[in-house]
Amino acid sequence: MSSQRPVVVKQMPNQVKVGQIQGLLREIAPIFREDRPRIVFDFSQVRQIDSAGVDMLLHCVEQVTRRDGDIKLAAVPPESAVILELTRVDRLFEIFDTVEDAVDSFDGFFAIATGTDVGTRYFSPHAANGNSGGHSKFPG
Amino acid sequence: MLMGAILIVGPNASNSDKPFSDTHERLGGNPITCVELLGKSILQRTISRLEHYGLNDISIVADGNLSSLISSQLPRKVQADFVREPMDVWTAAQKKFGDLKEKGSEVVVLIRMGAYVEFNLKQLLEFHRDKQQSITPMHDSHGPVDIWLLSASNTPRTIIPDRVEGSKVPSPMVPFLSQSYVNRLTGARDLRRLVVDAFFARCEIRPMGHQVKTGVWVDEGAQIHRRARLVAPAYIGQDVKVQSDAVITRCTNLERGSEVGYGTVVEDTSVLTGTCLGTGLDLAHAVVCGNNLIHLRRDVALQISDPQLLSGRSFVCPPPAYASEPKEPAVLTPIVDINGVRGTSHDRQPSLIPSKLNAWAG
Repeated sequence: MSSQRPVVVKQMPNQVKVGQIQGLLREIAPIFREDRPRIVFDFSQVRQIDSAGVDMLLHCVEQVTRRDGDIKLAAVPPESAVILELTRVDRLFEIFDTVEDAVDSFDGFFAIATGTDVGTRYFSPHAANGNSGGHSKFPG
Repeated sequence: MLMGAILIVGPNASNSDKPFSDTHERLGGNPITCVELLGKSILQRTISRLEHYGLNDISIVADGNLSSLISSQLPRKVQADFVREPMDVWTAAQKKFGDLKEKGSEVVVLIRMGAYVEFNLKQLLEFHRDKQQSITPMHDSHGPVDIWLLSASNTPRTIIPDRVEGSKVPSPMVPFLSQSYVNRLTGARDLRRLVVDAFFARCEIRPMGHQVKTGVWVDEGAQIHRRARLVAPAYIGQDVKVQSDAVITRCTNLERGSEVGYGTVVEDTSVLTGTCLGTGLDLAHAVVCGNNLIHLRRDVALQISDPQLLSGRSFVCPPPAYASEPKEPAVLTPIVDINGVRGTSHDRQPSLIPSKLNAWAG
């Protein structure tokens, strides 16, 4: 079942607000060009998100869906979870407690549900490949 | 027998060395007892209760920062004294007690506006007389509720409760144990509990306005779009606007001047005075006050500075019209058709026109 397509983990900044959106979209844009992109947005650092941030998430879902990929959210703090609920965006995403759970979920729901070992995972930061943008890749 | 009452809006005596803002019992910067719930604040309801028992000499002592909020809620015959520092309320209350004594009051009810208590003043007075004590504090099963009955004669040097012990009390203080409904209103959770209890008649609070259908109260000047849905129990306050396709459900109260945007669902939530909710939102298990959102399930308090989601507007209170008859609520008719599930801006909301049609005509 396991494919070798990487899962891109994007660490979201402290604020996902109107002033930060353009920069974020520029960083994420190359991932959208991949075939069937698999993305995890790590929300662990996010303290503030506004309607522009929510619109950005909707834009990302739209982009990824066009390429038959998926976006999952991980480590969403309660403050951000309230905004995602308030704007009804929470139901558009699978949301996981940890980045690892979110990454694993791309290889199968049952692996997480039963705690089955899905094999050795390795971590290869984008920076090591000469890329920037603060996201990292897990093998799927 | 002449009786007077002093209502203190400020910190309790043991916290009087700290600014009021450091204590709990506040929401959006205002004491919960001054926040309108189901059309009237707890302060107003307490005044009504005292008037019901025939008390006419009622004085308020409060922090000066609350002067406009409190003044707008008071009937004309109730006078308010505002102090510069919150901690001065007790000293001012002491002075007010002296004034009432001079005017001939034999017994004075002292209430610090913290908990909501459905006290029975007759029972309290009988107990006070039976015990022949100068000060009778009221307790419930959990402890003091910050209500005292003071005899004008034979009183201790100070009426400040936690200092009474140190002064020469002429008689022991046996507390009157109240069996009635008490809600300590220490925070948003208690506020919600009070609203739900009122909807289910577990306490004496009844929503203001007309009950337009079973369990749905609508106050005067409310504008409800004919395509909005109200599910009982619910309260729609004065001058509230509920836009098209909004759903108000499960013990939600929308207080005066608040607004619910197009398609927004509000469930089990208190939307306090002057709060505007944006379009296409889903708000549940919360208390919202201006830009502040307290989510009770997640136990999170947020300040949201995004008018597309939440915004607050200062809402000038008209003088209380206790005697006036409530008018029929107005109804809104859409003039712009909106497609899509989630709007992105207030500008995309349908315009609203007050109409004389019945909101629930279909």
